[in-house]
Amino acid sequence: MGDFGFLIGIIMVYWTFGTVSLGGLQELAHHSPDSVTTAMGLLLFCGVLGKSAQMPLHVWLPDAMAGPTPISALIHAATMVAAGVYFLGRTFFLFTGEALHIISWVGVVTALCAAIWAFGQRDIKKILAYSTLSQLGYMVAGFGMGSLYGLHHGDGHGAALYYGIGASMFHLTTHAFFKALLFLGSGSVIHACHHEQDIFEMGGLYKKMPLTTLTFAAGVIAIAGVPFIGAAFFSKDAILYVAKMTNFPAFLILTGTALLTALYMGRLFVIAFLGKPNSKSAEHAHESPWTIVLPLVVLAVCSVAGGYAGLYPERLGVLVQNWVPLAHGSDHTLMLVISAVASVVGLGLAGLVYGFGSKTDRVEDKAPPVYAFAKSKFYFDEIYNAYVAKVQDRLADFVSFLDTLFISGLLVKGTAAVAGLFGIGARRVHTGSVAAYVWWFFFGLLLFGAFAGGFLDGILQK
Amino acid sequence: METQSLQIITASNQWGALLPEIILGCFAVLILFVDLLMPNLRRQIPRLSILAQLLAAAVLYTGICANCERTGSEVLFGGLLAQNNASDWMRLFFLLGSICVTHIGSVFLSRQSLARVEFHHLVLVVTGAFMILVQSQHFILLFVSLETVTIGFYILVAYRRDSRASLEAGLKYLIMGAFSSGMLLFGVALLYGAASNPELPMAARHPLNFEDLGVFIAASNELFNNSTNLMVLFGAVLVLTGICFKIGVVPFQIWIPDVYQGAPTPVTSFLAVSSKAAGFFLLYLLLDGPFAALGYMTTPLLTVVAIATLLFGNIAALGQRNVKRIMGMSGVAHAGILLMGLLASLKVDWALLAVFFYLVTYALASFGVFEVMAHVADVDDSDQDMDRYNDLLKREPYLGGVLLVSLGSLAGIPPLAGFMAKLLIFIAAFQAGLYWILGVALAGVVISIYYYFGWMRSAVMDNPFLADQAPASIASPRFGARLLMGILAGLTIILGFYQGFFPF
Amino acid sequence: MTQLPIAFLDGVSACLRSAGTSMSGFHVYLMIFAIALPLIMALALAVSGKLPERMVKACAAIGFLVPGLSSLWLGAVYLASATDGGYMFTVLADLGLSSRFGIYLHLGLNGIALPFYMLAGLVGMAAGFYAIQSGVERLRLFLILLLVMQGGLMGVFSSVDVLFFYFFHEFALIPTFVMIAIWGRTGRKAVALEVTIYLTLGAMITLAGLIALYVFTGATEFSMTGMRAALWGSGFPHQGTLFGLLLIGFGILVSLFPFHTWAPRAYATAPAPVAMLHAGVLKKFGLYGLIQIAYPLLPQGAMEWGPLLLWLALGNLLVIGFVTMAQRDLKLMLGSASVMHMGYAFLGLYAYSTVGIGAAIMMLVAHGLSVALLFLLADVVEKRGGTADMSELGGMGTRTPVLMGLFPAAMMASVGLPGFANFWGELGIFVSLYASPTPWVLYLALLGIIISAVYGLRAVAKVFFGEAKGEIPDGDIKASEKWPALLLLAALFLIGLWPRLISDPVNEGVLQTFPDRAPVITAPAGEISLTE
Repeated sequence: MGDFGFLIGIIMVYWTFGTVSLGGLQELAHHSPDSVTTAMGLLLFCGVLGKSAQMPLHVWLPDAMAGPTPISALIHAATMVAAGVYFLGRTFFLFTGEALHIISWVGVVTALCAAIWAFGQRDIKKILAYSTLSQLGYMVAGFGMGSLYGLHHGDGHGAALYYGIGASMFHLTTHAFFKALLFLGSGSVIHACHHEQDIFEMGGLYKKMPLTTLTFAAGVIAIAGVPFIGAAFFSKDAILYVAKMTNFPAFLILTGTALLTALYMGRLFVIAFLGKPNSKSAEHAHESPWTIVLPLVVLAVCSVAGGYAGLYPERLGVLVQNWVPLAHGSDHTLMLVISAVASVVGLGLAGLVYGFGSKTDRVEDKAPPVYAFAKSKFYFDEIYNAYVAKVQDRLADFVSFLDTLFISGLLVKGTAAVAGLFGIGARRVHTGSVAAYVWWFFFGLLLFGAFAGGFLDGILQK
Repeated sequence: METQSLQIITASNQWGALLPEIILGCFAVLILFVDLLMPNLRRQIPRLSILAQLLAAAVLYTGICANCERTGSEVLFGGLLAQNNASDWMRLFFLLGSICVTHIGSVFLSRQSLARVEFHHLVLVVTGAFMILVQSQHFILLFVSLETVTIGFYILVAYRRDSRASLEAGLKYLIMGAFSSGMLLFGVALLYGAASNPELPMAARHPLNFEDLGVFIAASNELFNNSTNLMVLFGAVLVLTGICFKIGVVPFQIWIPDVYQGAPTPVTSFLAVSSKAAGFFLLYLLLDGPFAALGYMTTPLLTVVAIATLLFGNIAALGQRNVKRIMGMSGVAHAGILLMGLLASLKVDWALLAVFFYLVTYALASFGVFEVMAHVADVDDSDQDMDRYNDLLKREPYLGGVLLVSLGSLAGIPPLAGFMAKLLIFIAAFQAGLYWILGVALAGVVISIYYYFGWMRSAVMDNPFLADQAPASIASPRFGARLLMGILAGLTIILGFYQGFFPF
Repeated sequence: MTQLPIAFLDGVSACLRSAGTSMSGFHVYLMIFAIALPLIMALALAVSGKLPERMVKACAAIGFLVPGLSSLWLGAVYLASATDGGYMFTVLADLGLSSRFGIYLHLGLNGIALPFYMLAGLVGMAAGFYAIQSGVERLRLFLILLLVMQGGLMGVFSSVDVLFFYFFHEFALIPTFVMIAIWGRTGRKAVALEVTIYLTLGAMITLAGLIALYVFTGATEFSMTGMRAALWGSGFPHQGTLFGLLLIGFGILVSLFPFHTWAPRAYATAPAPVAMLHAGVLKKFGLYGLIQIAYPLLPQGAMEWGPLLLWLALGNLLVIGFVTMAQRDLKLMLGSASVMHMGYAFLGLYAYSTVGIGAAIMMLVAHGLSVALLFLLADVVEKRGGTADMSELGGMGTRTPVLMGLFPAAMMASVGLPGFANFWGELGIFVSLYASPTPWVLYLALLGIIISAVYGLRAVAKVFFGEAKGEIPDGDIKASEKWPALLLLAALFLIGLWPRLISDPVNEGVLQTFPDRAPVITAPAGEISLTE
């Protein structure tokens, strides 16, 4: 579905500019900004909707994450879905202000909703999948609003023009580190627990597999954005900053989402790793071999250190150095406080609400409506399923029925049947009675005679 | 006939031109003697008969080669006969056809307790009559030779005296044939009457000679227009009726299924191929000769007939399960296509060659099918259901292969000769502007696929419903049969690829 | 940087082409051989007595290998600019109809024919080897018929003479009927009969159209080049009628809506090698005929029929698209899908620009490869799972990992995923539609992609994921099944990555065949061709 729009967009670009080479396009768009239309941008964005799993085309991602191996999930999370965001970065000059507005709202809504849905999940990989969704929402929102900022506040060629790219790509990079870490960590856990994926069947893993727990904690801290030791602290800040500058409601929602992020990751951590084992498989868990643990450690270091890239930009090349929008002055302090509060409060709340290593979801027990609200995923799956079953499949069946009835049945079989009937009729003529045959002969004679007498001339000439 | 012509005939010593026919006649008598006097040579009679035909064919072919420079017609016997390249090739066609008939007959008779020599005798006589028929230039000779053929067929169709079907077929053929002969004769009489009327312009000296009659019909003066003379028209139509009966086109096709089914297989093949070919050639002789001036009437008439024939033949063959009836009805359909070619040949000069090519491919394929049929058939060969052919390809690969090739050719499937033949006739019809017949013919080909394919399918498939029945007893082909079928099927394939044998 | 591999490949093909021009006699023989050898092998198998099975298989293998390899070789050495009239490797043989009708056995390849010719060779190889290893009953007869089919296919696309073009087509078609009748699945009797009659009807209408064209053009030669030469620059009546005849005739053979009903059931019933050859190659005859004969000769007629063709093509795409979605049997679904995809090619023709026609060719070749691959894999699925009914299959993935890798790849290729050959064809067709007078068609056409993605993915999910149902597969795809599949997949992939393999000859061929169709694309800047 996404590719559908994407392809139209590409063809539109092709017919407008006569090329699909990115370099050529940028030059052309720069020279004739009027030829860039909102529709073009939105159609191209359709491709991003599909590839980077933005609402409403997000449903495939969690399902894909449930696939067989953590490795494939990792590839999806860290690299493949990033393609959409990367594409936005390469084609930012093709988007108009309106298009960017829409794009940023899509990102914001995706980020919020996915964060809420993560509360309804019990499967460790699914939780991570929804967190991926949510973070992708951040990136897309960051791109939209950053570019808007550039469009409105930049002077046309300054670094501000690239703020959207900077914000989204920075978050993309840090996200790749910590999400890879989290997925590998979850793989290690699943491996240790004999393919148990339900977090409520785990618990108390910190004793059995300390290294994994430690690295996983690093990942949680990173994604929650705990100041100075969480990578997302810096990259998310950049996004929040451009949000505040361009779109205040979005800023509020994203801040809330940051809190939720910390909360659901905390939920995952405290239930799965802390407390006591909740099942036999968790009891028998043991630390994974070093082949698994070593990458975890490396990634953990990266994800903690990654955020500092924002602090020491001069070492990290042009992208981070110039393009990442960093808050200054009072904004800087505000951002710092907000993210610190959001992450710490979130993590803390998680411990309070869910309790270490609890066997059941306390929110589900105490406030079922809230849990149900999260678990429902806003009925997207149901709507899609209903569409497939009620509309699409029925339409397909109906068309197929018409095809069978009219074309295959009436047209083809009907013709054959008529021919067959004539055949029966023609065979009936041969009665075997000589008398009848003689009558035939006379009939023929009459016909020939009619020709000879010219009686049929009038008929034939018509 | 006036005495003067008789004198010319007797004075001229042109019998050499009829040497092939004379050879056939001599051998026809000879085999009767052999049967009577030399009982130990009785088994050799079919071979003797084939030898006679080969000898005659060789003589004829030598004549053709010697006369290859000839362009027009050579009139013989005071205008009774005319020989030209076309009639010579037709004579050869009949000779080669009768070899097949003889062979199919010997295979057929080997499974019957019937008199043998008479069959071969009659085949030789009838073939000779066919050969004279196509050379005739005079209505008297036409009628005499035609009656020789027809009377021979009366006997041949009812040859299996112990079979009710065969006798019934013989009776039907006799009654219908008598009717048609009567009509023909009546038509000839009307023409004679009209043409010898001195009041009319160009009253003919020899009213029954084709050439003179043609001149008479084409003539007109300020008072009379002979080509619209009602007597001439009715006479011509009645003659056409007689010929249409022979070639079995609608509405004179009605006898075909019953007679084809009842007649012994070799006789059916004789009827289907030689008799039909003779009828078509005769039709061409008349339409192109004496009746040329009547084209304004005959062309629409035959167009309607052709369309009806194509439709009826194909549709009536649908759903048939008796293979001999299928051959009959499909033969009717083929007659429709030939008629279309004939109509085209009145406008497009090369179309006659296409018709001849079609006749050759039709003969090759039909004889192939009938040869197989002679092997597959039971003692009672009139009741041959398609199911007898189940799995033939596996049980007797040689017979199955020949059957598939022959049926494919009849259906007009590339790369077989039948396809090229149809294609050429279609091109001719298109050039002649016969779009309506062409459309019906194309539809007919599609319908024909149904019954040919049904037959072919049972030849390649095992029918599980018949698994509990004992498989039909099938004669294994012997060397001669294999050779003949090999030649037939081989030519069918080769002619599909290479048509250089024909001077297109 | 990115130019490097292409420059290297260009160098290789330049070497091959220079070899090509210096060995033209050899190539003519090669071309005749590619047609004759399968037939000779078929004849040899038919007349030889009891041969050991190894010998039978070896003979058949030669009969499939030689055309396949020679088609690849001819493709490699093909150089359109070195020929006259765009045809290369031409050869003429008189078969007795030359003086009056101008009918010769006239072989040759132009840029349009070449991709199809290579397709025939490739798919023939894959189907042949699959058939040899498939272990059907009465293997010898099966191989004889398949060899005849292969010979015919090689002939169809190398014929310049129109009669032989038709002739070889029938040649290849007839074995299809027989093979469906003998080796098909349940219901084969009725299906074989229906297919036979329906396709004969199409063939007859086509024949009528071709004869009419020949008579009306007054050409002295019944060949594509001859008729083109006779027509050049001359006004020409009855174009609409003639084009209509050809469109309907060829349309029936390509299963143009609403003449499509024979196709899905025929492909579902036919044994897999037959379905591969027919759906993959032989069916392309109709569109190939339209492109080589009807469109260049009857531009006026093409214009007249354009609007109707548009609706019929959309019928193929959307109506059959939904019909495909409703199928429960995997093979029926593939059959329907192959009918549906013909809609794209017809849309390309509808656009009637060099881009549209070129892309349609591209699409047809790609579709030929992918549909052959799919039928092969579906047959493997049916053999392993015991049924082709998707509602009774499921969870095969765990037992057949390799098959699970191949099948979705093939499915994605047929949907038009970038990286596979089909993508370029579809993209080109969309581009041409955008430039056509009715750009809105593009949106409907794109809907087709969604539809095919839906049924494609759903089929993959139903067969390989979910709970295991039906028979438990007794093993993964075998080597004998895997290699033909990999051959086809590799070709799809290669063309997908380097479409110039096909698009170079096609571009030249289309430009030469349609000199009046100036390229519609006029790009303001940058390089033009998308298919590069």
